[in-house]
This record gives sequence, C-alpha cells and structure tokens, in this order.
Amino acid sequence: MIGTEGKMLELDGIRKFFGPVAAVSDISFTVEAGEFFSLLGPSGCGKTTLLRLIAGIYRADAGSIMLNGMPLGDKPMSARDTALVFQSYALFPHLSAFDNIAFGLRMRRLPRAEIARRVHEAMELVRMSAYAARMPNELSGGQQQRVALARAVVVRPSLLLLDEPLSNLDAKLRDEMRGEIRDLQRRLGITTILVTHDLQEAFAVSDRIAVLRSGRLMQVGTASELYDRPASRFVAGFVGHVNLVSGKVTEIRNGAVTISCRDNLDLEVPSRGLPWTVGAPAWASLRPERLRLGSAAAAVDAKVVGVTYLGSQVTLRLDIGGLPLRADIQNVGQTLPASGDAIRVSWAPEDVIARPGSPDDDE
Amino acid sequence: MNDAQSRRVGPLVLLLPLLALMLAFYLWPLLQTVINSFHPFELSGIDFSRWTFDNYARLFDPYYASVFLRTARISLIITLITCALAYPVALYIVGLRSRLQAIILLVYMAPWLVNVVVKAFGWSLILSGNGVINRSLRGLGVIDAPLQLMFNETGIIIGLVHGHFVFALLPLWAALGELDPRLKWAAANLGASRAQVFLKVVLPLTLPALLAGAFINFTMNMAAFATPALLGGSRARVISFVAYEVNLVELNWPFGGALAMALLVLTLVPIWLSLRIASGRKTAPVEA
Repeated sequence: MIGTEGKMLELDGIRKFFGPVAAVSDISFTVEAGEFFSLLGPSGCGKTTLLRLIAGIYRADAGSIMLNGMPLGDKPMSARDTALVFQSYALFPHLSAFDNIAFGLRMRRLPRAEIARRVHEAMELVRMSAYAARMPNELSGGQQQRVALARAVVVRPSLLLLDEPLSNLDAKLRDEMRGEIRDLQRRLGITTILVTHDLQEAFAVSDRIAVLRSGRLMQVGTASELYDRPASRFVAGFVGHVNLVSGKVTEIRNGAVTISCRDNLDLEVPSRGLPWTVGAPAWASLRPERLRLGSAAAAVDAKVVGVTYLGSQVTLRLDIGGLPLRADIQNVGQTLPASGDAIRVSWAPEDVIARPGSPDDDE
Repeated sequence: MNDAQSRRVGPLVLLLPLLALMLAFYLWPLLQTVINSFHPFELSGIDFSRWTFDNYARLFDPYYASVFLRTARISLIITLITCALAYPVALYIVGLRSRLQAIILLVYMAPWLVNVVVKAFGWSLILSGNGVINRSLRGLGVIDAPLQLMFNETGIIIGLVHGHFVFALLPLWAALGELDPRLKWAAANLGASRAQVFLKVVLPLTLPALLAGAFINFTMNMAAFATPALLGGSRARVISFVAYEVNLVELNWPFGGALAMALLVLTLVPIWLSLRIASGRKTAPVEA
C-alpha cells in the first residue's frame, strides 16, 4: 500500500437532520490513508447519508469533516477530492463507456492525449478495454459497475466512496466483484469507504468496519474485534448469530466473573476490565459455532430439540434446562445427534461474550 | 377462431365506431379535398371532367410563396421564444413540491382552456393603440405615438407564445422530473460546475423532450387560425387565413384544397422529424 501514513479523513461530531428526524447524530471516526473502511448497518441506519455528507451532496448540520487535514466545510461537491460510485452506478446514459470515464478528466481540462491515455489505463484496470464505444444501456450490470468504478478511480481521488456498489449484482458476480474491488483498492492504494448492509461483504474487504444503527455509531473495529468483542448486544447480533442469555452477576474473583442465568446455568467468563457489580444484571452471548458437543469437564446437560442438516454444517436446536440454544457443528462424518437425544455441551470461557447491564440497554 | 386470434380481433371491434366516424367525417372529406385540388376551377364551378396541376403551380406565385414563408418564419420565431422561456420555467417547477407543481402547471394550462376568440379579445384590450400597454407607456412619457403591437406579426407572436406555451412546457417538465438526481450529483462529484452539470448532463438528456415540445409547438403555430386572424388581421396574413379566404370567400375549392394540402405536408414534416429524433435517441446502434 502507498502512503499509509497519517489520517486521510476525520469526522467529528457529524449530525444531519431531515426535517425533525436525525439521519445521523454525533458521528466521529477517523480513516487512515490507504485504509479500506466500511460503514455497515441495516437499511435506514444513516450510512448512505454519511457517505453523501462526505461527498458534499448534503451539508452537515453540525460537526466537521477533514480530508487530508483540510476542512471540507462549505466546499462545493465539485471541489472535494472524492469520487463516488453510486448503488445505481449513475452512468451518463447519453455518453459511451469511454466518455463516461473521461468525464472527470475533461472537467479538469486535462490535455486530450493525457485523457485518452488515462481512460485506456483505467479501462484496462477494470478489464473493459473492449467496450469503450458501448453505451451504458448496451452493458450488463457487472460491466456498468466496472465502468462506474473506472470513472471514479481515473480522477485519482484522495478518497473513493462506494455506495452499496455490489447490491444490484447477482450472488456469483457479487463475490467476483468484491475480490476485484479489494484488489483494485490495494493496487492503487486508494483510501476507500464502502457503504454496505452485507456483513460478509464488509468482513471480506475491510480493514476496519464502523457499525451504525439508527444514525448512531455503535462500534468501530476490525472484523474479528466486532465478532469476538462486540461492544453491545446489537453489534453482537448484527455480525453473527448469537445465543443470548441474561442473568445476574453472582461472583467476581481474580479476573473472572460468574453470571447466573436461570437457576441451573452458571457462566464463568473473563472480566475483561468491565465494570461488573455483584447482584447487578448482566448478559452473555455464545456464538453457535463455538459450542462443542461431548463430555468435557465443564459440560452441561442438554436435550436436542431439532436438527437442521445443511451439508458441511449441521444446526442443532438445544434445550438446556428450559433455555433454548443453537449450536452449529461441522459435519465431519461423526454420528450426528438426533432429535430427542440427551447430550452434553461445553464451551471455552474466553468464547463467551459477556457485558454488564440488561441486554436491552443498548445505548 | 383460436384464442390468440380472438385476442387480436377484440380490440379491433372496440375501435370500429371511432374508425367509422373518422372515415366518414375526416378521411373522406380530406380525400375529396385532394381530388378537388387536381381539377380546374371555372366560374361555373369545379370542372370534374379535366385534371390539372395548375392549382399546385399557383402555390409558387410570389404572393402565396411569401405567405408560406411568413407563416413558417412567424411559427419558428414563436417556437424559439417559447422554448427559451419554457426551459427555465420547467426547471423551476420540478424543484417545487409536487402539490405546488400541479397548481403551477394548471396556471400554465389555463390559457388553453379559454376560447381562442376570448383570448384574442383579451389581448386586444392589452395590445391595441388605446390598450393598457400603450396608455401606460404614454402616461409615463416613454413614447409619443402608440406602438403597433397588433394587426401585425408582433400581435400573432405575442398571442401564440401565450396560447401554445404549455405544449413546449409539458414534455420538458416530464423529462426534467424523470431525470435521476444522481446523474447530476455524479457529474458534480467528478468536478463539474453548476453550468457544466447543466450543459453536459441535464441539457443533453432533456434535448429529446425539448425537441418534441418544439415540433408540437411549431406545427400548432403553422396551423393556428383564429389567433393570427384576430391579432394579425389582413396586414399579416398567414397561410391558414389565406386558405380560409380562398375556400370560404372566393369559394375556390380546388386552389383552397391545394393550399390546405401544402399546409398539411409542411406540418407533417416536423412531426415525422420529431418521431425520428425521439426513436433514434433510444436505439443507439449496437457495435459488435
């Protein structure tokens, strides 16, 4: 990667209202130069609004945005060094693929020869050289996507903004383009912000991910940080399936906390420096794939309620003393439990995600 | 009869009443006009025993040729003024909330809902030598003698810009409303100034609508009768007015028919052109 030093983009206290509704509030984060950063959240969480605020389509009601150390403030869209790829691609329907890609360079009044050279370079980069003369309506969705991408990177922006660029493609093409976008970003070393609601997409391409919900920033971190150390129940649930249990803190002892859930299940988890109080409510979650079958020492009794066979993986619905749990086990040729079987389940204490407070207390 | 056939015949049956009406009261008289135009006109009436091209040759007589040219020139001027005025109005309207858009469009449509004779009378109150404009300007001391604002080409232009404005406005309004705002954002994001966004994206994408509106407007200007007759008078005769005189005052139906045919062809050409442009835009040639 080129130029990984320093902060490329800094958002501080960004807030935007549409009428009385806050689309985003108090958003602050920093994106490093060369980083692939994703804004992840369900639809309506404000991620596209945030992207449009950075591009200058909307103006923030409060807060500041700095690009390359310079405040964007009231800079018009055309003067911001960002390039946006729209979900719908927004290719100019009256211009050929070549002219679409050349648009930004022509606006910059570059010499004709340089425009031709850079457009051809960009078309090679996205493997569209053969389609220069095609009109957008003569291109497939994937090809339009490539032209849109080339049109954005050809102007060599400081910041590439991708608004759900893959959501209009079919599943197979989506996987392919996902890899291509990541490769392109690495090769060009372009700082990139991707907006997506697709967890797999965000996990597959991002250096870091910001999880948004109802216009608020829930957590920023790497994929594994979000998955294994979610800051809230929402993040835990959004980045994967969780078995959520709630209970009370009954004991705090040298780096470990015991949470009693129901009357027959005590979870001992690492305290991780969180503010635990004996007698206060707490919640914990167990990833289904981290549950293990067998008779380890710390195992508990469970009853199999249902079995869903998915090929490489089998999903079990378990009942642990009235508590429903899901376990995902790898199908490695072992004898699979059947509905009604009594089995024993165990897990490693480090795999339990536990937080003080009630699970519905998400900020 | 199988199912597919009956499905094709069904709509035809529904079309029959209108088709019969058009045949009896439009196509048949039109055909008769064409036939008349190829016969000589005598003092005793139309001589159906002889065929002739004389009526068409007479169209090139300097007087009638000049009337045709004047009609085309006036129509073109009206179309250009209308388009130049309609574009900013359409741009303004699409920026409004949809309820307000409907109200303003209704205001622009209102002149079309008023009888042309009433409209022309209204204009004469404003434009005549003793009308609102001339009296105001004289009162202010701007002019000594009244401006000649009607009974000439100026009167026709003013009356028809007003009367046919909405036909240029509506296609533009529809096209601008359908324009994806993301195209404008994409252009600005790529460095285009506001003027460049308009010239490079908005204008080219709404050009078919602008041209369609212009051609509709032009054909209506060419064929207009009442407004030019009332506001242009006998000093600024247009072809529809001359055709009326020849047909209904001179009762020379053969030459009147030739005039009508010439006018019909002259108005069909722009319609045909506009269809060509509209369809040509959508189906760009596909390269291998």
